[in-house]
Amino acid sequence: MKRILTKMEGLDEVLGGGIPDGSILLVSGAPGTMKTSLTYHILHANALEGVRGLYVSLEQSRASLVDHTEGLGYRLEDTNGNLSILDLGTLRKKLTGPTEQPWMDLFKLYTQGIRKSFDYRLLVLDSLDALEILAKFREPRRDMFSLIHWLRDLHCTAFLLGELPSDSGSNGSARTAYARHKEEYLADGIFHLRLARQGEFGMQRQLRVVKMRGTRHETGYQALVFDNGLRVTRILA
Amino acid sequence: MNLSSAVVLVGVAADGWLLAFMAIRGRRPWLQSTFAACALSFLVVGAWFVGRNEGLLPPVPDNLVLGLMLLTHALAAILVLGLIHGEALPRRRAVTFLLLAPIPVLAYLAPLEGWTVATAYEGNVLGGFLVACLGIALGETIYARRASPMFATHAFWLSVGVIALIVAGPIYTYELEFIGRTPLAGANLAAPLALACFARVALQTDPFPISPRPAKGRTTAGGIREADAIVFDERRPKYALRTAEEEAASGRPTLIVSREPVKITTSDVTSASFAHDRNAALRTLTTVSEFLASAPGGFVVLEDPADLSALSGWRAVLEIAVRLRHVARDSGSTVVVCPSRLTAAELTALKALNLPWWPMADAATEIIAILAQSFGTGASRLFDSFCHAHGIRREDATTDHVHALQDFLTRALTELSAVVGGPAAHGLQVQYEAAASVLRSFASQGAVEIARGKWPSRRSSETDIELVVTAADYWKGKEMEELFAAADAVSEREPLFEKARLVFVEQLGDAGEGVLRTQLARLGKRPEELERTDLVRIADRATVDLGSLAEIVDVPQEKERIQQQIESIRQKLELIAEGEE
Repeated sequence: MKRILTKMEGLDEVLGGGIPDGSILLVSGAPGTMKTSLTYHILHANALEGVRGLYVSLEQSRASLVDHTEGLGYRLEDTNGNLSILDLGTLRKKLTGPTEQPWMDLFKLYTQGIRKSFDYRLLVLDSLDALEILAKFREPRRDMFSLIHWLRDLHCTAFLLGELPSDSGSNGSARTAYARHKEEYLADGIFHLRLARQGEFGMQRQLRVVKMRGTRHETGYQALVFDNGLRVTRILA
Repeated sequence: MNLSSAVVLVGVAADGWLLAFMAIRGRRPWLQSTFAACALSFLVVGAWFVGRNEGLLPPVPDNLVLGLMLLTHALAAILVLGLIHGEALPRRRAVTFLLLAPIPVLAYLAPLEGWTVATAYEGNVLGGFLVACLGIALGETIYARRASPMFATHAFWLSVGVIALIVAGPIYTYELEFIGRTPLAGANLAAPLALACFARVALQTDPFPISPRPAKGRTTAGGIREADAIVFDERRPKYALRTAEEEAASGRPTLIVSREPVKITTSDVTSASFAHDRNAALRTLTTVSEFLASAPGGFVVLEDPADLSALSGWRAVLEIAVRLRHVARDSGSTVVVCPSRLTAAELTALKALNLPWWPMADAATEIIAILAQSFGTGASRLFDSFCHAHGIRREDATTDHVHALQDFLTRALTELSAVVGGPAAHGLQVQYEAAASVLRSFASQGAVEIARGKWPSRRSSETDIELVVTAADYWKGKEMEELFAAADAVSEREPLFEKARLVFVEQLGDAGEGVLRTQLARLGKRPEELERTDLVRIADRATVDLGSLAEIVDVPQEKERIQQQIESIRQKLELIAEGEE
């Protein structure tokens, strides 16, 4: 089985050698758990190796995203054009009008169209919740099923970022739901990110590979540490 | 002025004229340079001859004139071989260029050995070299005449040129020596005739003009990696052209050679249309060879071999198919041959060449097969309604029409849902969605997948059959007839908004309608209130208002593609507005 390496210290080992190519992954977590940084790291690191990636941002503008990620040391120029950012957030501002835009169709138009000239192997959708709100899902479960089915036809590895409430799973109890509309059943893999209490005052970012079809992975929470780049380590008691 | 000088002077003038003519008319810089060097050296030797005979020039060292004479012979041989092999000469007959190597040595030895222009063809090393040059050229023309029926006429003219040089060179010099008139030796009287023959062949085998020129140094591999000539077996060259667009979009140098100018809008595709002359096949070969020599690893589509057959004969087409295969393999490129409109006998002959043969699906047949899975025997009628609405013939339908077809069916279903409701409408919707999913999947397949035989018409019994049967059970009955009636009604009615909407949907897919409605809303209009002046206004502002669609993309090719789509929308809206006047 061909695998996509996350190129993040510790994570590929947790995943049993990387993410199976062509998987649809749900990356869910509360705000501030580094969902964007984690997925951008994977895209950036693969782009440095010549694997093309597309980051679709519905909330953050391109300038803001680049500013944020360059602050973490991920320079866009270093990728030699192998990392593209689709700034649907800016389009959202420019196309405002009395009528609603078909955002789902626009998302599909771009992601499919760009493929013709930029054969990306990795796709990040930031975020699923923003698309749901913009596209006004009438039957969310059915629309989500249709979206994931469509993404599979793209034959790339896709990361769908999903928001969870701030206190989700931070108290040490195991979460049982990682998405609002049961998309965890549709996705091939789930990364859960959380902020866990450490001691009296401290907080620690943690990552858990909840599910990854076709691979033997570790299932426990790991510490997600940022120092000279992101890395995953065991949680020290 | 004596007669000999007068004849040579006329020849010098003719050499100069031919040199200028080739410089202006030729399209192969390498060959033009060789021709220019050859003509110039003949011209200088001729001018020296006239100047010496008429006493207009101070004495010139013999070894300098001999050096020029040696150069004329070596360059004549290289030119003849270059005309036969084109850009492939350095690969096929690289040794030819070694003819230039002995020239300085022989010119240096001339005074020491007592060689002069008058005795140049005597039985010594110098004479041997000169005769060898002309002999190599003549031998190659004879070989070319025998090996290539397509090149036979041109090989004949090359032979005429070389034989003329031999007659006016070694043979004429021996005769002068025999009658004791050696001072008349030196200039080759047949040089203008030989150069005229070479120029004739050069111009008749010149490549067709191509535009735009491919960027140098582009070596992207593209989706089809085979370094070979491949036959795309399809009734019309639809997948061949679509693949060319895809390969060009991926950065691969791409050329389409066809009878008519190519209608593809992608600026990355280079195109050449062949002239209606009997050398069209040979010129097509040189066009492709030149293109792939400057852009190795490229992708070429030969769109109309049937027309080439009509112009140059079927044997010539078979020959270029074989030679294009060699060119493709030598340059690591892919050449696609489209056999549409060939006769059965021609197809059989083409198959006998054992080129890779990729059968391609016919879009209309496959779309009907997909629709039949959901709508049964009425599929054909539905598709005909769609074709009628869009003013296209069945055979013109391509996978590019799938978006518009989905849109057409959605409108028909919407109209129908106003009449029939409940489970029947739901059943139709489910079936439509099943068909739309398979349509999208089929449309997304490229030539490689299609060549593997993943055709809906072949595997209709495998795909989503459970879903289809379940949905069909929902509403068996008269609603289907009503769906067809609704589709017919949609195809008959074409108000201004519908026309504009189709333009947007054609370019932007399903998102197009929403974008158009936004533009209308900005004008404060509802769809039914749309007027010609509104279309003109939307068209005028399209570049600015829709420009943001391209601005948010940071992939240059995609940005350019979206800008082209916007421009296409603008032009089509203007056309609709003009048509309504």
